[in-house]
Amino acid sequence: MASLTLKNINKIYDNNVQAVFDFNLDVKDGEFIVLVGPSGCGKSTTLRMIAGLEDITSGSLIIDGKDVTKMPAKDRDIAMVFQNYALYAHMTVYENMAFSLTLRKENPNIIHEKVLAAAEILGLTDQLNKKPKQLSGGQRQRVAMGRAIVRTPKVFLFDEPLSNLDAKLRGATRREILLLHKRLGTTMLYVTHDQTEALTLADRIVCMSMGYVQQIGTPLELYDTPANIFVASFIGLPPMNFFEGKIENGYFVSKFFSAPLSDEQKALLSQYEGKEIILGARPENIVQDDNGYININVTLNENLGQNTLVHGSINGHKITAKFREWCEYRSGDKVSAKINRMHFFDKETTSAIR
Amino acid sequence: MNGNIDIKKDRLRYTKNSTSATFAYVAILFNVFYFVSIYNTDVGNYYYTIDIGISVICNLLFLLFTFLCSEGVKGYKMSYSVAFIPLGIFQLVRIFGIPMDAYNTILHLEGKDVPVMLKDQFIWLIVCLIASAIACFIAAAIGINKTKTLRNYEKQIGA
Repeated sequence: MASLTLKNINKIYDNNVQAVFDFNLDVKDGEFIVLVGPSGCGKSTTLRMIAGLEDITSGSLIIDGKDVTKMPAKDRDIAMVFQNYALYAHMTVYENMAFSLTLRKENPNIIHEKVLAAAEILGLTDQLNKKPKQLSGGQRQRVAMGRAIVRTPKVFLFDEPLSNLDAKLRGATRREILLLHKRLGTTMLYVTHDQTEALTLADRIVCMSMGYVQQIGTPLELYDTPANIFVASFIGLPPMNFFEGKIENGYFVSKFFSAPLSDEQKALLSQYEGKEIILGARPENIVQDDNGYININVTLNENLGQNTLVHGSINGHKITAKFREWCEYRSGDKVSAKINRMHFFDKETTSAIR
Repeated sequence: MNGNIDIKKDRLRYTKNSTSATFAYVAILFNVFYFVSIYNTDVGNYYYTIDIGISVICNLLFLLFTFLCSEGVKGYKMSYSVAFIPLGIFQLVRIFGIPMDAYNTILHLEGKDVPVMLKDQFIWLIVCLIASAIACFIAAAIGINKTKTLRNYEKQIGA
């Protein structure tokens, strides 16, 4: 296990494109950190810098109190699991898992014990004599993880390890990774663009956009108190609905609806009286109410079993609501609703108003 | 100590018998040396008989079968391990074929006695064939031993 500190990390490529801006993060011993963000936001670059596969342009990387910024990848004692598994096709599962230890010239008996122990953890004991091509995608990814486990590294890095798997397998492998973390208790950094993976796996999430860290916090913090409009729109499925409007006499007034504010909200927004702000409402926070102030003109009704997603518009502005009931609205139906949890954002800075 | 022995045996279940295979490659290597060295001298028409064709075929067959056995023995197959024994014997028997005959043959060419094969070449060919044979026997011994060990261990653990 190891703690990890990234201080003012910047990455500028040779073509002067800056991929990461002033990245700061303290990772505690045994913590599971997920870096999440859209493609091109710099999350994989950050992970590769930690692994030593990319040079750090400026800033410092400290593992267990030791500055490893300039240290070669092989000496960092970090294991990385890639999206494409990176297994040797001509080797068996056993040989793939044992390979790194064989290169280190470890005792073959110790290698054997480590490989069997890792295979036991990952449920691969019966597959040890098979070649990667004989395995399913999930099993191959487990082999890749096994190869990392046998090294007993200080830090595990996962670069979108589930992206090549189908939805069902992704869910199962995700749970396996979570169990693996609980079992090993090793520090793990995991990169994904899938917010479900981020929310289910992470102790803390680092949400990134355009090379900048947008917010660092627990999954609940990011979901419940997003720092800005980007985080609010990125975390949560379906994404949050946004409405531009003004605060006027205790109401949020927009051209779509007027919503009364609670005393607490009035106090919070007292400085914004008469100013333009943005109201955010998660689909699950929009509830049906016969006396509601929102009138949704339904365009599509999606039944998900437990919930119903109702897509519609309010005066031409698109809105998605997630009702807990089984609904059977038809296109053109009107639904009266209200928002039971509102998020407010400064229109100029896009930051959350707190 | 017992634990170590069991781990060693258990390892056989997941690792290839690369030692036997390596010795098979050594046997092949020495046979190649033999193959490229035997026709170095071309005295008169000594080599222009059916024997040369048989000799070339023997060399190719040896290379083919030894390579096949090297692959088979990796997977602890007893038959492939045992097959190295006749291959080794075959290499020893070949000493008494062309090399011995060529070494003992003296041709009368243009009024002179010309030996077909000089002593240095003969010794080198003998060394190649014996080394190849020894490598085959070692590959066989290791293969048989490891295969037996693995089979017994598998019986013991009920695998």
